[in-house]
Amino acid sequence: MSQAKHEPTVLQQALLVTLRVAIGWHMLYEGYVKLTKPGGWSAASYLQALPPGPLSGIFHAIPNHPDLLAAVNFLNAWGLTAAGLGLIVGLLTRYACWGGMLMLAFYYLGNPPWVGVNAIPGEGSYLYLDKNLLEFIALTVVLAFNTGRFAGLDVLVARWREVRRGRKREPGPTQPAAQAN
Amino acid sequence: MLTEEERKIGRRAFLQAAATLPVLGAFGWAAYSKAAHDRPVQAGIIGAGAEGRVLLENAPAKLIEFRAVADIRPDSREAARAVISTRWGKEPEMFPGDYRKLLERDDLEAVVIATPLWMHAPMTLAALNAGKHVFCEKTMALKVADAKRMWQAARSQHRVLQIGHQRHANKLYHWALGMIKQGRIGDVYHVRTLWHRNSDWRRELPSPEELKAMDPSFSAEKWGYGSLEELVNWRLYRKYSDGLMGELGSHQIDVVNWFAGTVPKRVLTSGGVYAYDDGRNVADHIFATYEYPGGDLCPTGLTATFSAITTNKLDNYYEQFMGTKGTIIISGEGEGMLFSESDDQATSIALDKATSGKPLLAASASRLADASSGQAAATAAGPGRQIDRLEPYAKELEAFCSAIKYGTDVPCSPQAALAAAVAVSGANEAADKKQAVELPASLYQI
Repeated sequence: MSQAKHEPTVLQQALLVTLRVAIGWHMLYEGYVKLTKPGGWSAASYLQALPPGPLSGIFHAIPNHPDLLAAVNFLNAWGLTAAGLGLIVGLLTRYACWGGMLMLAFYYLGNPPWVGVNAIPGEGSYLYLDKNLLEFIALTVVLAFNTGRFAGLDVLVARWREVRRGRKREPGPTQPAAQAN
Repeated sequence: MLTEEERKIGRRAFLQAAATLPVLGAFGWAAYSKAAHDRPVQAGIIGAGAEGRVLLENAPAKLIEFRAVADIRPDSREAARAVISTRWGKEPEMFPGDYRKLLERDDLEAVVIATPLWMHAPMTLAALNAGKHVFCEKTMALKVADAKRMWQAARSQHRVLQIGHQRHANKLYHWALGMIKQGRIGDVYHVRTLWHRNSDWRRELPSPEELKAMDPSFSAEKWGYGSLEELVNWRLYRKYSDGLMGELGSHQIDVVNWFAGTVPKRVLTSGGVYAYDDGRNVADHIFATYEYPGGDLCPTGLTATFSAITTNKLDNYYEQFMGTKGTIIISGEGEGMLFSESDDQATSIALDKATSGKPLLAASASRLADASSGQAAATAAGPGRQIDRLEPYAKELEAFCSAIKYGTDVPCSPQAALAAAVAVSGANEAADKKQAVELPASLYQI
């Protein structure tokens, strides 16, 4: 069976890209809100309120170290913004996926909906699987399909890399970008 | 030279690369819309006297931002400027003359009107017709017909109109009503309300020279007042005011209407200028008796009384709901007392903010006889157990902002405020005619 037969259809590609953009929208807005909050945003009160869990010792200690807290605040707000932008425009999509997954893993482990953990309640009911983990899994799908090659600035990045390497393009249906259409 | 196929691939790559870029534009638009929606309500205040400044001082600063002040008195304008610049960190635009100039500011979404009663209707109508949401102090209007026009204008202009009967935003009243609905005091056939003071109800006149020095163009007569005295003491003159019935009774009868879920059908009033023969033409003592049909307080009908005197302050002010199983007194807007008919022990329902935030039902040592005066009841409840009397001013403005932003209900609707205005107007008419006045259902409708 050839590689071409395994390529998603245009509809499948569109749905995967929609999933990526939707996650990007969410992350970008989370970052934007933190960056633009009047008076500045800090994770301190949230970190202190986290229940005893696998990473609670680290999280509870962060607010006691101003420099570390400042770094966490910076990385969180700008990380969400950068990952969100990357996912929306499809630029460095794989890095954006990894970054987003890393942050989501921290959010999940900070407040895990596990039996025996007195998790901070959200607006729903969760057991092991919550929205953070769900979004994490969705990002693994986006990552696995490398959706930046379907739609996004990664298409141009790939071409630019090709040019830089001095590679002669192989015109025709074997080129991935062309195959997609 | 690119081949046709290469050009096609290049175009295709560009389209693929740019496919999701419009989402960024959509995000920018959405974030801007959200920020614009979430910013404080941009408001102006018309009338920055004592009541207006209470509103300015207690307004929730994160939800409403005052950008402009209109008042004909220069001293009131300056006092408002000081409050606004301190609380919001910005200088408001001042409108010393015609308030309609303030309404021309397109960036103002809402106005708060806290002027003498006779100006409520024209100002509210002008503001609503200018597309502003309006918070107007009570009483709704001097004339029932004008109050109806205000309600109608809010409806036709699709704007929020809230009247400042602040008891609707006072949680003590909500708790008291909850207890009544639970049947704690049984059926209520009589409600006694009163507001007793020992003062002439006059305000000190400012120096005309000082006012002129602040604003050489200042003139009370220019704006329809007979003199500076009439402007400052407008509450004492029927041209501008409904007197004690309007300024005090409207609040308490409004509560009876609210709790009873109905409106009075007849009123009989006695009163007059007994003690202060100083040129005023509103009563300094007034006693009104209202007859209600059956409603939420009782199935058949009840009588509510209101008395306001200015020569004795015993009892201060309260609303007393007298039921078949007990009595609830809400005193001074800040403390509630529950008395059971089965014993002579008073039970406080005062708010204890420091603990549960729920109404406190701890038995106090007050005997019924002792607790019948507001002073004794306050002592029985102990210091720090009364709610802040000013808190409802913040809450009612919070609700006003919420109504503008999210379409929620206002605490005191035009309909409820009209009912209070009808009761006030009817009581004064009954006092003038010295006979009972019927209050038919048509008065309460538009």
